Amino acid sequence: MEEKQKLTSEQLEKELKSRKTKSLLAKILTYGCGLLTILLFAMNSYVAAVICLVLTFVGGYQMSKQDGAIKTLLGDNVINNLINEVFDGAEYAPFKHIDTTKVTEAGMVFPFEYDSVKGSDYIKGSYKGLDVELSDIELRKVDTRYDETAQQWKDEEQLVFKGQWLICDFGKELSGEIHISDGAKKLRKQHKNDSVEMENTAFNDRFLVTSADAHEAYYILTPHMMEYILTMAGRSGGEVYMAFLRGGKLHIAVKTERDFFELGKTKTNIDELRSKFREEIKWFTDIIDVLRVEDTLYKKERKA
Amino acid sequence: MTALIIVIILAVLIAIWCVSTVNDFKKKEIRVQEGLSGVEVALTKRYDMLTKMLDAAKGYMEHENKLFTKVIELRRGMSVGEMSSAEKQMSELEGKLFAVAEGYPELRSAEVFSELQHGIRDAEEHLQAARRLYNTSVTSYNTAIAMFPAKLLAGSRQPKEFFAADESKREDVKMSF
Repeated sequence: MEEKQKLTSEQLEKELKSRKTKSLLAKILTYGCGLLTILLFAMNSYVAAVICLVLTFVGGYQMSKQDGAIKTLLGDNVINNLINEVFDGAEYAPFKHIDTTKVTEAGMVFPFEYDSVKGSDYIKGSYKGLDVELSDIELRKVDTRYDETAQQWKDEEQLVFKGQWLICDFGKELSGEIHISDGAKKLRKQHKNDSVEMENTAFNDRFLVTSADAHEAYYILTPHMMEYILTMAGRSGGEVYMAFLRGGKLHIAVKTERDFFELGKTKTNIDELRSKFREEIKWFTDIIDVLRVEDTLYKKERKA
Repeated sequence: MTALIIVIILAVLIAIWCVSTVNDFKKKEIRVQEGLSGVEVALTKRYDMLTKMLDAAKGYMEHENKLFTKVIELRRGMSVGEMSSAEKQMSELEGKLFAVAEGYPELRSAEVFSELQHGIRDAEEHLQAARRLYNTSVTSYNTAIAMFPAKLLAGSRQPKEFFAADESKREDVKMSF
């Protein structure tokens, strides 16, 4: 097993700064040489083009190596401690993500289709007695197109979702499944038959609720819950999608267009990073807190 | 000829609009009916839970039986007002039962009582959900038949009654425990 690298804050700041610079240089090398390769091929300078192509690959390899090293450093020195403060029995795997089957089985109602699931920063643990999984997720749509020049079919991947995904097991059996999707306007037409109109106009304007059982939707989405979802969605900085599944699992996907635990472009101040990452986790734990304490749906079950 | 074509097109468009508007009224009316059945089901569930609760409580508080000899009647096809008032009566009875139960620690600690208490709370939540769903359907229906120009096709359709407690009809409903 690989030994974890434990550093002091100063050492970590220094190491991160150096890795960040190396990653930036590798990025410049990759893109610069990539562009040059195309130009040189166009100018029929094949030898120089091949050299540039090799440099592009070297740059790309270096870039991914440095990014990986940053992730591992952050994981070992910041994130592991942080998630252990929040979750019991927490596990953190920087290069894993929530199981693809779980993501697809949630049946999340998106305004787009997807074919593949990727991700990183997988966290698994128990939060106040509830099993929780959390990770970055990227959903991609694969389009097969005919390339006239090469005269062959090619697969083109398109990123349709980038953000965070939470699964929380409340263990409460529901009689139906409810899906809540941001961007009601885009989805309303295609979900004419299974959409449920709620009594909260602001909620209807932003979210589309789909369910085969309208009563269950009203049972789960109490007026307080709708207000809370609206507030949390406003704070999320992205599109929010939710799925309340029959077996008691709640899935929340937030399309933030960025990764969890990103170093960012600012200075690598460890304390600032810690508080930024803590806030990122807090958005999700706040939702769980409200569902288990404030709202009636899951509280009822716990009282039984 | 052109004028005739325009008139025919207009007539077809108006016919399509009329059919879709009337169908929309029907759909909304069905949703109101479904909502009302949901309320009926939830009300019956709450009634059953309350009956069980009272049966369980009777064994513990024989001296208080007089308190709960109120007559409550639930039957099929009750009007919205009758249902509202039955719900109100159930709430009163429930409140009274829980208040009296405070003086009986044995009853409060009984497992069956705690289970029934949870059941009643769940039934109440379902009733609230059913009532909100029904009222949303009524709002949608009432708005549809009141808006111009759809209003012209509403004919004898009348606005539906919302589900709310109606003090004046309380005497009409009789329940017995």
